[in-house]
Amino acid sequence: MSQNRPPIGRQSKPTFARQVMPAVALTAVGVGFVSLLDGSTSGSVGQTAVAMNPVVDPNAPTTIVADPNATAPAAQPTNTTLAPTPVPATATPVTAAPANATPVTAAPANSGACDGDVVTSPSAQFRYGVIQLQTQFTTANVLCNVTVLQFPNDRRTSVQINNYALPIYNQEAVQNHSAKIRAISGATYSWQAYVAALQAVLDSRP
Amino acid sequence: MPQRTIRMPIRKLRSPGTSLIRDTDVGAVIGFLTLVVVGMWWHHGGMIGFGNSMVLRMTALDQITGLLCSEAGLLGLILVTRTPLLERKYGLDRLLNWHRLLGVAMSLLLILHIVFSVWAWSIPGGVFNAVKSLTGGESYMALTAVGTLFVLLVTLSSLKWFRNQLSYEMWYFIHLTVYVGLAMSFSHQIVLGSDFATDKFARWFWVGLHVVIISWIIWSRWGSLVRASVRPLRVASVTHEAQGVTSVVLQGSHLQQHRAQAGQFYLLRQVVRGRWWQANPFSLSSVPTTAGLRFTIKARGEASEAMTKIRVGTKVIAEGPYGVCTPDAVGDKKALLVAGGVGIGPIVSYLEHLKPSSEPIVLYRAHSDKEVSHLEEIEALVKERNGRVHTLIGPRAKLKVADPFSPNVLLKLIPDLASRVVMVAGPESMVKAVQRGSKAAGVPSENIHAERAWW
Repeated sequence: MSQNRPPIGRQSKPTFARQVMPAVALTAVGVGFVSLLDGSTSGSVGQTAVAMNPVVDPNAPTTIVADPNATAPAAQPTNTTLAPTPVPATATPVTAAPANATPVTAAPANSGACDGDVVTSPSAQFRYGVIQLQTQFTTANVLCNVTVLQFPNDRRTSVQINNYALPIYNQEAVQNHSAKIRAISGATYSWQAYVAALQAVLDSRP
Repeated sequence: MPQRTIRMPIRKLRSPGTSLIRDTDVGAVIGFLTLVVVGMWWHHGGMIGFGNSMVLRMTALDQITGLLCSEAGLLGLILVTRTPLLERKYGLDRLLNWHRLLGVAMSLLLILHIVFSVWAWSIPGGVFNAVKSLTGGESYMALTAVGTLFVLLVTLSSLKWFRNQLSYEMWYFIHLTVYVGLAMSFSHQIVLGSDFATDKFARWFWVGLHVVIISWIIWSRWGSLVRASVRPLRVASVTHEAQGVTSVVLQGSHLQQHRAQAGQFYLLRQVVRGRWWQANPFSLSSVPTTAGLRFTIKARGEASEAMTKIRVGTKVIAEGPYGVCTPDAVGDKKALLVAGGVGIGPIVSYLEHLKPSSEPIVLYRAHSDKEVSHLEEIEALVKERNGRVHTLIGPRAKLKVADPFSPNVLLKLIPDLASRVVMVAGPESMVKAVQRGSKAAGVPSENIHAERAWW
């Protein structure tokens, strides 16, 4: 039987079906695989999230809120707060920071009370969603408070990672009064978006 | 009284047979991998935020270049399995050439991946901080950075200029460190690569794909070496053919089950102290039979010279057969066989296999009479098949014509050249000259077959 096999390098002309079927089958498998990634519904959730939070150019002018008390947690005792709600309009920042993110009351001598301008950052969009910050400055124009208005919370892992990392980023930003923050392993993309959002605010300040 | 041992009649070895793979299947697999890789990237964010900021743009680019770099690497690894599925369709020489091209593509993508990553991480901390993070600050990145250096070193050593400075063995052992390099950089894909760090399904697919391909290499590549080592052949005879040219016949009882075809080649490794780690390709110089495999070897380098001095009885590990340039390409047509120097070996095996209807014409080019081997054998074989032999012997300057393979000279010698199948074996420059000349003389390129992988 095996001796009837055609010699090396010589094959009979394949039928059209033989040529096309592997490509069709593998394409179907590939498309099926990609659509199954990260749970079968994440695709549509991701899209809704994008639709809800239109992309804001970080270079666009930032919103300066005249009355801090309207939306900002100016009177809040802690400087690091995390708001897990994705819609900024209804954001009521909560102080449910994880245990390892100790509230910081770092107030350098020259900064004075944290009661200056409240500035909302542009939405920094990244692979997993959007990060938007609300910052507050002292009258001497020193960054004294950062609140996260939006972060990606459509995936369980995103929430876990961000609940852990964002309070630490808030704390470092306030301590350093700048966007010079160390990235935390596993939360690098959040870090990049966070820094981009914060830098956009700082760049807009005189 | 006759001996009581049963002697099997000598017969030709069975042909290895052709592969079931088609060109379209190869396209489908490459398309599938690309679809999965790009689809994964797209599904996990892809171009989101691409127009927004430099960080996000560079992040998207470093992701996709990293993934495509891995894909090129995986495809390159599939080729070195030397799986019969691909080898019997395309031949080992072509597989290794594609492997080289994929290696170059992988390295270019790797360099882009590094540039985009450093760029993305340098905002806002600066390039120095980015390099610091990417060579040690981030988890597993120290390991990855060293692995990357290995991979780039291997690519560098394979560039023509560096390759020519190194001995084959030196180059080969440098080349093996690519496995170490790939293993070291794999961890950062899983821990930092956002496609895998947070998506369990994608992670299992990616890890599984690597496990499958590595197991395939171990089974197919290293397994074939182990199988060949367990049952080595032995040198049955060594014959001096011409100055520096020796023919070696290898025998083994398991040749009964072995499959091989005239025109194929083996990687031979003599089991002698200080030599066992060198494997070099040699073409069959007769139709392979159960009586043995004959190779005609010319001392051209340190390794092949050692092979010409091999002793009767030495164990030889023969991996193969490889190659798809076989006399079956002639089919029912007539043949022109062109041999240059020791390229006469495969030509003898082609001749033996050809039908009388092929009326073969042999052109034998050699630099001096002393180099000529197997001439009587060829004359006898050609006579049986109503063909003829032309020898072109002497240094190029002493030949009557400037280019013996120009279309005019070829056509004058062989008026029906255009209807013949041309098979060439010899030095690269001669192979090219014959290909050029016969194409210009009207031979369709699918009827020109050349073997270059032998020594």
